[in-house]
Amino acid sequence: MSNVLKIDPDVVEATASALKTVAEEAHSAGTAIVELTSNDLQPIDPGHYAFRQGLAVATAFWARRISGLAVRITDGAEFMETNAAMARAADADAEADFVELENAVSANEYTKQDYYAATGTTPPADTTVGDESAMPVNGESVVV
Amino acid sequence: MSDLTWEAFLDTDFGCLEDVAAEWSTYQKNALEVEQSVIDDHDILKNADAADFEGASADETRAYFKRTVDVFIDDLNYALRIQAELLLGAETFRDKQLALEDLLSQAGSQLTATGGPGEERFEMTVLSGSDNYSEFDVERLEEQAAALSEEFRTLMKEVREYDDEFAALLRAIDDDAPTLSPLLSDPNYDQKTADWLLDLHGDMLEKIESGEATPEEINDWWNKFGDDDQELIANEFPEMVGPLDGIPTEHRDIANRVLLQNEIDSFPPNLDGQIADLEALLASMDEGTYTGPGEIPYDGTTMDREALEAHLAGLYEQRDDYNALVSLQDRIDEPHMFDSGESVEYYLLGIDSAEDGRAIVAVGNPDTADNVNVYVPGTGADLGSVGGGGEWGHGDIGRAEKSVEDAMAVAPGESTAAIMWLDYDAPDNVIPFVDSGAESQASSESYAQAAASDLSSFTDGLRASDQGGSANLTMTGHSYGSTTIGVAARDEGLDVDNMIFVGSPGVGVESAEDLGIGAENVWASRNEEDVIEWAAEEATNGAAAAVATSGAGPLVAGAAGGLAYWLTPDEDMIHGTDPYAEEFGGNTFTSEATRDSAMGNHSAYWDDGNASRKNMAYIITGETGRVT
Repeated sequence: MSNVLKIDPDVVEATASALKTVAEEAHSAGTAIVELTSNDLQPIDPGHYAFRQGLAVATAFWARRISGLAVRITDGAEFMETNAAMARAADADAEADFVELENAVSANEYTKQDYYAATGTTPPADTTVGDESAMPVNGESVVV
Repeated sequence: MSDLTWEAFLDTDFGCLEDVAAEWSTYQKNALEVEQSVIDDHDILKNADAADFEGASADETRAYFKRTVDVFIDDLNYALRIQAELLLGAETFRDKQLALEDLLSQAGSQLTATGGPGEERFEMTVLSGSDNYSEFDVERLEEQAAALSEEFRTLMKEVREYDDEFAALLRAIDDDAPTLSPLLSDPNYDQKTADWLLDLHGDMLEKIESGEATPEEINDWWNKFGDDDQELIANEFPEMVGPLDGIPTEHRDIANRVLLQNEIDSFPPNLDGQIADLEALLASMDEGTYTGPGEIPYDGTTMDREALEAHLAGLYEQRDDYNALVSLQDRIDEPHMFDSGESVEYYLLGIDSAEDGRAIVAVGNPDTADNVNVYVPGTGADLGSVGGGGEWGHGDIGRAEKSVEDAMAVAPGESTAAIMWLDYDAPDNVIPFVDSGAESQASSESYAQAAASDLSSFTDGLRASDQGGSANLTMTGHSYGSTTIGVAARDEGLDVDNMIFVGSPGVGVESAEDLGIGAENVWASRNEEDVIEWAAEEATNGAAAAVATSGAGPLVAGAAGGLAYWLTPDEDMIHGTDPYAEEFGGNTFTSEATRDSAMGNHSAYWDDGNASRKNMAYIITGETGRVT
């Protein structure tokens, strides 16, 4: 079954790029609040107060969530870039900005490999970077 | 366990907790902008009909980002909790710190605080026997030290307990956190996302699975999902969504069409070929041209002739089922066109080909219609006959179509939907064939009793998903279908505005009042040549003779045999008081015998030109003053 996608690759790529920036900013802001929490609470000695360990767990959880958000935004942006790249490849000579892609990738079929193949991007050596599953889990985080 | 000492506690400046809480507050406010920066700032993500990004993959992208943003906005509650706990911590610790300072002040210079965790106490600064202190003074100081020490220990115990409690609250902050939504690049994204969505509602799913959720609760729950998520769940979990009363019509239709396609796909692709091969094989045996062994190789095994014939009969049944499903699918694939040029969509609200088969088909959307008519067919109705044809010539979907068409004619400014409800096992026969040993199924109330709960729930579901909340809801039963409605009203209650019974053998109650909607809202009709009338006559011979001359086809043979169905006297029909009789207490309306036979006239109520059609339309559209 064909999956027709009408797409302006320029607009879609620009949006995807902006989204990646949003993801980076969200991640930075999340990291910053976690670090700030750690730094500003130095007067309260974690060696004396049990709640500091609990706070470390809570902020580690938040770091995972914010990382998860960033990963998801980036993942969606890459899906958009994949379809934009496929549209360009399918209609490279078209003068019009607008491309009708007959066999777009559906969300259900899409994998990261499609992104690498369509955009010519090289997969990172460590694919867990930025993945929230790689973040500290409950009880294993460090005191902030 | 906290081992906080009183010295460390006294020296701590808790102002930093408040400062950090303020930072979290600012952070949350900024983070709330995520919806703006991810969706609203980008036309192709904000607008579903954006021309620069249009198609199924674009829709999925928009749904994905919306889901991602929604989850994050919900997640910000965790950030809020961290902030709130920090503020509460600062306040609580500071209060305790002030209490400690007060205690130390009370002790003054004559008592000194000392001791580790759990051993906090005050000791006298001066030694007893000192020249400046009398024995009385020492005794008083000792009493004061003892009393303050008790307070001291209690206070520090409370401080440490609070420290532990505070730590536990922060550790538990993610205890109820749902897993994050699947990544778009995850394999089987649709299934994973649907699984994830339902996992968020585990409690409700348990309630649904146990049958405890009411259609109203189900509708409320369903409406918590966004449109895209509703469609996704309907597509990925059709077995759950398809039969669920309270799910809106459009989504129930999506699920049931998936189920219908799955059922069609489950049949062997070469059914006709298998049947042709078997027929040819059996024909060759009949002609004596088959010279193979007694055990005949077929379909990867060997069978004797009797087994082959049984196998062929099974294939015929499968083909009938397959044809019924394909016929239904073809029928509802395109909108129904009326002679007026208007059209309405079909909605499949239930499908099951097991046994005789069940189906619920709506003509028009009952969720948005001003008037809704639920038509319940009677004896002989099955999946093979709802589309038309079959031994009884029901064409039950056609009757729903006609009721919509008639309603549009008498109330042109209103919208009407009609539903053919065959979600029950209708009796297969009125009178069994001679010497068949079978009983008359239609004389048994058990089929209606078995349907009662489902019909009542379906009606509640219609009420729950009614977008306007005020549809004029009518339930129309033909023949045994009227019994099904009456028994459901009696046993389970039916939340409908009107009931119409045509060609009824009784509705399981003695009077219209017993149906629970007010006798003035109950309507019945029977044309003067309807064979069902004989269910109220005394004379067995007369009934038999009448049926025998009715041209009733397969029923004739049965009519000459046992006629228990027809032996009831006067207004007492086999399933209660005749709803067309004055004693019943409901309303009646005119219908005509438009066919040549008594059996034919039992099914004449939807014939062109029959007054019954216009009368039913008046009732369905609330124009009861025009009923004749």
